[in-house]
Amino acid sequence: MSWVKAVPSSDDVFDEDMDDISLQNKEWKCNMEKRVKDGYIDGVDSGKEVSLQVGFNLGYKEGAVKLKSIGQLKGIVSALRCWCQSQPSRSSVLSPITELLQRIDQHEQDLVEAMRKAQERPPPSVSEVAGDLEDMGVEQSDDRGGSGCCRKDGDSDCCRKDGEGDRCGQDKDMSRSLLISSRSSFQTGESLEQLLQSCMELVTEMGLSEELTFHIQQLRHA
Amino acid sequence: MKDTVELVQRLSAHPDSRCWYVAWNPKGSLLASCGGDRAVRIWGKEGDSWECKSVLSDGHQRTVRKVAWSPCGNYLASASFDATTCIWKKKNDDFECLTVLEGHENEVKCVAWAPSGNMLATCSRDKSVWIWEVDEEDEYECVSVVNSHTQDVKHVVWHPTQELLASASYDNKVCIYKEEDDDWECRATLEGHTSTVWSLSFDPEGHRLASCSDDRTVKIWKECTPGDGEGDGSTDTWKCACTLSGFHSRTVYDVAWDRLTGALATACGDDGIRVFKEDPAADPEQPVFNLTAHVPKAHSQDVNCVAWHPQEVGVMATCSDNGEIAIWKYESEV
Amino acid sequence: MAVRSSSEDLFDSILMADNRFHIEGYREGFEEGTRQGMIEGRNHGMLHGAKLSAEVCFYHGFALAWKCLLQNSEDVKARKRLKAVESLVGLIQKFPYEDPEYENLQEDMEKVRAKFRQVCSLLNVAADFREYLSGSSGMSF
Repeated sequence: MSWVKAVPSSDDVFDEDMDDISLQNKEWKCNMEKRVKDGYIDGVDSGKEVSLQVGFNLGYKEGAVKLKSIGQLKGIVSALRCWCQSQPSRSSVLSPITELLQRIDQHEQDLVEAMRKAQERPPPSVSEVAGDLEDMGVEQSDDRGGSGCCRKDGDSDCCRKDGEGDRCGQDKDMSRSLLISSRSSFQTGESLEQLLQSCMELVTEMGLSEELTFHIQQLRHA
Repeated sequence: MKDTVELVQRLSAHPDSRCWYVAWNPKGSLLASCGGDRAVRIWGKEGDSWECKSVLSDGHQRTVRKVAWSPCGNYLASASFDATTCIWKKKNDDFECLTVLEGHENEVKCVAWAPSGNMLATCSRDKSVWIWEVDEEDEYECVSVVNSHTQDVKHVVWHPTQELLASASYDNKVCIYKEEDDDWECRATLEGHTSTVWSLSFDPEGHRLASCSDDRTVKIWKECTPGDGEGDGSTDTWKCACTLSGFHSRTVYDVAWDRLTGALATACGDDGIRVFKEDPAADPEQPVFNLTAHVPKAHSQDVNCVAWHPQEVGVMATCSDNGEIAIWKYESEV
Repeated sequence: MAVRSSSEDLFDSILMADNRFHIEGYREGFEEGTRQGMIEGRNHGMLHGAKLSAEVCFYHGFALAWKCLLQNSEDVKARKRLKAVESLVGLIQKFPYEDPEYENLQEDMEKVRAKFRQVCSLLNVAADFREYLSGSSGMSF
């Protein structure tokens, strides 16, 4: 704590040299501000540590609920598509099914895209100090570094043989996210309701079981 | 080391390519080999010499990694990096492709027939093990997919008498599977190797399992019977009874337990083949294996596979990265 | 002695001030960090939950639809398929995939994936099927 040395000692308190005092006061103030900032940084770290997991769990549940209906609908329509592909007599409905599947997939991608956009936006700062901190180049991301999954890829003896397995599978998600984020629109154009309606019409047209219609109807309330 | 291993014949099996695997048919009259040239070759004896009888070259688009004969000897399965497994049916002296098993996402690393002949297991770099059922009409149906490994699965092998399957992986582990309510489940995970486990072999009775690894060791695993008071019934317990270390200077790619003599042979990345025998005087709970024969430069490159002849005592086949097959005769003094 | 004690007092008060300012900053920072952590964690978690849910629900819808399509068939093959499809539905129904704190989340997910692959194999569904799963880009029809 080098700044302690700069604090006026008792002998100097009544020194007539005001410039010196104001200089020392400035220094004192500056040092105390630095202490506030140091404390602030420590506080941000601890606060984040406490809340990240809580936030994650909260968000996870929200995200899971958001994709539930569209995911199921996509599964249902994909199954119908496979089924029609295997039945030559059903080939006429293949193209409307494929078209519907594309719309569903677009809707799902838009939902995910909107979430990703939210993730890319840094949380807005409420206090000025936070702004100062950014100026100071303090890292605020929660990047916890690589996953360390590639521990053995350097093992030449092992990798030479047999086209060893990819230990870097987790990284795929990363590159995929980059791909998707390059798309611009994230406004969800079509509503889930419209998609469900289209699907019900198709199922009715195909004369499929009422149980299936029931499943689709249920997705409205999921 | 008082025993001897003599070369019987050397065959240029898959020229300019790797020979990955060899397998004897149950009678021992035919030897199948496969390699990087995408072909399967069938070898038979003409007089005293082994000759190529047929070449199965139109089944796969990429390297053929393993071959396996059905217990009846009428079918041959080949696993390939093209993500498929071909089932070949023997017709007189020829083979025709009966069906192609699809489903793995990428390279199929191994295929093995259950002793009953009604089931087949395959494994892949996609980390999964698939169990297939065969019906009377030669139809193959997937009955289970198991994702118990976290990495590339290198090898699968069936227990000689029970419906029990073992797999080895790049994740350094061995898994043991059993059927449970129509689905196959991993019942035990054998941890101990410190690098890729390349191959597995059950002993003739199926009491023990040998595993070989990139960590240059061979481990012998023993099943603990429920009476031992270990395990809670929901899982099976296998423990490592002994480790053969210090014998191999490179990766051990294959291990084979001879059904006839109980000898254990290994194929190694140091180009050598070795034969071990169990010390009969040792405590069965702490078995001791002695190196009884060693052929240092059995091949000019990595030895990928070793297979004991199913009928003729001491005869074994090996194959190598240099594309060769070698037939050997092992003579034991005792 | 008096001089020393006063300098000690001064030193103490400096330390106290030092501490006080640090604590003040810390408090403010903690509040801000908590707020930021919640937002970052939530955004991060939302994507994770969405991805996993999209995948599981896809399998669920797929299995439910096949169940409806197969249940009136009488032949042996269809019955085997139906059984596998029902088993997939069963696995998903008892899988609390919406709970991020569920201890076997990863393990159960692998089981569901494995079952789905078996079902696809039994249904003779093309191997490239997985390409149009869970928010993947570059779809091809």
